Amino acid sequence: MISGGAPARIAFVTPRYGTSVVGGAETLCRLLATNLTAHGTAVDVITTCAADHQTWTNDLPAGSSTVGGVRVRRFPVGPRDGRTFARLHDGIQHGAALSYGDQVTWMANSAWSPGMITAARGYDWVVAMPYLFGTAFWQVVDRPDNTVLIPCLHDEPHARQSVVLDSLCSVRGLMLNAAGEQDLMDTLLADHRGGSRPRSTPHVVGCGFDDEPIPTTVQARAFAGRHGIAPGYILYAGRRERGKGVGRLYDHYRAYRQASTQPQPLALMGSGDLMPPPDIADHVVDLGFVNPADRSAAYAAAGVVVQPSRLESFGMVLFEAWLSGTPVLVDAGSDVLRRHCEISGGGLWFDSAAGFGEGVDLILDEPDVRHRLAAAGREYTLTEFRWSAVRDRFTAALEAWS
Amino acid sequence: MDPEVRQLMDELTRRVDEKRAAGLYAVDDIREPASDPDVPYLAEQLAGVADLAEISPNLDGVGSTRRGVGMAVGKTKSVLARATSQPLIGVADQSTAFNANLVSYLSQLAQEVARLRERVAQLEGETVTRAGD
Repeated sequence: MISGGAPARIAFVTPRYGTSVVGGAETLCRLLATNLTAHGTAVDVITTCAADHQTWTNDLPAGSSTVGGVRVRRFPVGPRDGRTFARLHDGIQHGAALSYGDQVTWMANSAWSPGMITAARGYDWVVAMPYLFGTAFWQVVDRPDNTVLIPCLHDEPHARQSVVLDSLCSVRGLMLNAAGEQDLMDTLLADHRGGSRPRSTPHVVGCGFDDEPIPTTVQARAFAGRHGIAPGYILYAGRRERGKGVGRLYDHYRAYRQASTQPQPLALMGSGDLMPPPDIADHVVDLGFVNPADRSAAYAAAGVVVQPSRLESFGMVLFEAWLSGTPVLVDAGSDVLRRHCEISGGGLWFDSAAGFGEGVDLILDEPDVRHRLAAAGREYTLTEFRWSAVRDRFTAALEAWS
Repeated sequence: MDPEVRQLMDELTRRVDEKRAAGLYAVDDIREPASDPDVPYLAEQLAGVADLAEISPNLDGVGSTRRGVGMAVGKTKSVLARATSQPLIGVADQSTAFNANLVSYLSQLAQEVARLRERVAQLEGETVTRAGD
């Protein structure tokens, strides 16, 4: 990819960046930037000095540094009124119909940085993510012709705001994470201004994975043994928040225990404040933070990995489970996750407590079914989302828009 | 869609129907109502709600698995639970009475709506026949 005889200068724009920053879009940004740079497509990252997505205080020093081989340029968060933002953001969440002006005010008080906008003008291509923050929104406003958006769309009220949909339609290109995200975007735009379309054909790029061996039975058993749980458990990996569907997971798990003849324990990997209710707490094992070296063994020792979240634009957990040889059971309310399962054959989906319970039993009761689902998911991951394929799709997309 | 997944989802649906027919998952299906507000509430769903109208505090499962002292601890817990549940039993009785009346009233309304629907369909049929004459 060249620009006037020299390699194109590419910058990624993201609200926060770093190895300790938790968040789907932030992780996607870091993995993409690191992998592209390591394989000859150098990218810079332009981000804020903030580490906390609640306070947005400028905790990190402004200036350049190198993180994982990637040049990172940090700029202070610009002036914003957090209370105004919270009022409008919560209003949208609860169904308030905001005027166009109020929607602009919402974005004006989101996290943004005038320094980032100025710095991004020095690049041929700016890849901004995700849609929900002022950092991406004002970047699209400033240079729509040179900006590509990785929106990381979720089916949520914020994605239905006119300013957001106008942003999707005005940007030079859109890189989506999955086929299901494309379906969601098509639905949102069909209802916008009597039917809108993006400026150019979106490209599904996503995130990549390396071909790693499935952990051995010995490794899986050793992991389970260290945590005092028998292999074959039901695993949830992610933040323990109501927004991630964990409250619903607890309810469904309770119903499953009452209906199943051989209920398995539920293991939780990750952090969060939403604790299991007392009546099921004895059957829930807290694995806490599992270091990356042990994570694939945690997946491999599970009988099934459940993903109750409806707000996913990619579904990283599914791929990690499949690579470790474990099938998945996902909430049918997420177009993205359900489509991954439909296409790959790597998992099933539920739309009720009964569907959850019977789905778990169907997978756990029949080892053959479990094995075939997991194998299909792994093949899908290594065919569609191998790093080399993702890099090719990324560069092909930029070339198509050049 | 992957053909094997389609087959498995069919099997999953069959198992769900079987379990529901056996009376399982009733509470949980009601907890998460149908997402489509245009789908009318079925009489069977209402019957499921009626089963839940009776509220009674569950005093089982307060035992202890502690070695040695488990039995004594369990007994003490049971006595305490029963002793402190008296006010709760009164509230539960009141709730049951209210729920039972409410569900009964809703059942009457549901029957009335069903009857009116039939009547509307019948009148529409008569109108079409007359227009055809």
